Amino acid sequence: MKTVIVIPAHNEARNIEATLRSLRKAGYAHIVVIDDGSEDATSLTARRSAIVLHHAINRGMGAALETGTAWALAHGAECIVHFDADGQHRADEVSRVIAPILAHKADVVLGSRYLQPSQTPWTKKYLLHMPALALQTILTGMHLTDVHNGFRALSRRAAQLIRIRQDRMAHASEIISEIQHHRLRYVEVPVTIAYHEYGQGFAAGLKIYGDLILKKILK
Amino acid sequence: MWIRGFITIFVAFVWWRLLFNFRSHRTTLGPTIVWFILWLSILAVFWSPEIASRLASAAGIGRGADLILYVSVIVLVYLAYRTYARIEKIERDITAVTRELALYEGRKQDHRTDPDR
Repeated sequence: MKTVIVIPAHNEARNIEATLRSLRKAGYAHIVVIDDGSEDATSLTARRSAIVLHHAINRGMGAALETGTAWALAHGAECIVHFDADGQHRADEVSRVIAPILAHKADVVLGSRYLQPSQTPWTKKYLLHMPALALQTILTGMHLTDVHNGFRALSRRAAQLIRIRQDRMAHASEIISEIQHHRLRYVEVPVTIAYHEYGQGFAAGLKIYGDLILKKILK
Repeated sequence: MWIRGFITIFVAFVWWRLLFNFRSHRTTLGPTIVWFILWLSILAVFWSPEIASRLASAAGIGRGADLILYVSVIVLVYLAYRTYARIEKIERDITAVTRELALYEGRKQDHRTDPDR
């Protein structure tokens, strides 16, 4: 089964090489990096070991994932993995994430940092993720253990059905809604998230839900 | 009252801009008419405030000034919504064009390299 790893990247010249090296080492040959309007050498660096699609202007992570998914589908991908460029995700866990799809047991596999002991800072866990998780449960009716985890895998069928219209960070919640809308089979698997000093703060979290609500109104 | 003269000149300028934009095909007939009527209403209220008072009485609102305030708020909120919706559409269009360009460049890469790499 052809597995394509889709990596959105914005100004990740510092990290992309190590990320790609780890994926190559883990045995993944089909990797597409979407350089989302980077101002640094992301494209140049990534081109050495992956296909690079270049967004001339920054459109956001959701937009980059949709571009990568379109490319992967056009190139016969049967399993598509969304993977972060910044080293937050572990290449040796891709096999665990894609396993339910390879076994035809799920259409979508969602990584969850809370299915195993997690290094998540408590402020992030209790002030950001838990309220967001509660809201997500109310909005979608799906009982998940994690929210806004970018490590996921989609079967070809799921990738064809799920449309990411949220260009920015709200795409993660949109994908959950799409899973429910298309009644796709999903499963959560434990994944490790490495924490950096950057990432989404509380205000960014609020903005995500603001975006989701406004898009619903304007739809 | 000097304010009436000022508003009249200003409304005349806005009408001239509306006509100019319509004749140069920058706007369509529908929005041009709506804006024309809106500015005509503003001019009418400035020259004849009793119009607003009569409308306010008919609507069950005490003063003409209150009616103008309420209507203005409603119109402004609606315009803000329209502007937001338009910006969202432009954003979606920019994303679509950006994606298409990226995929087009990707297809060119395919021709240069092994597509099954």
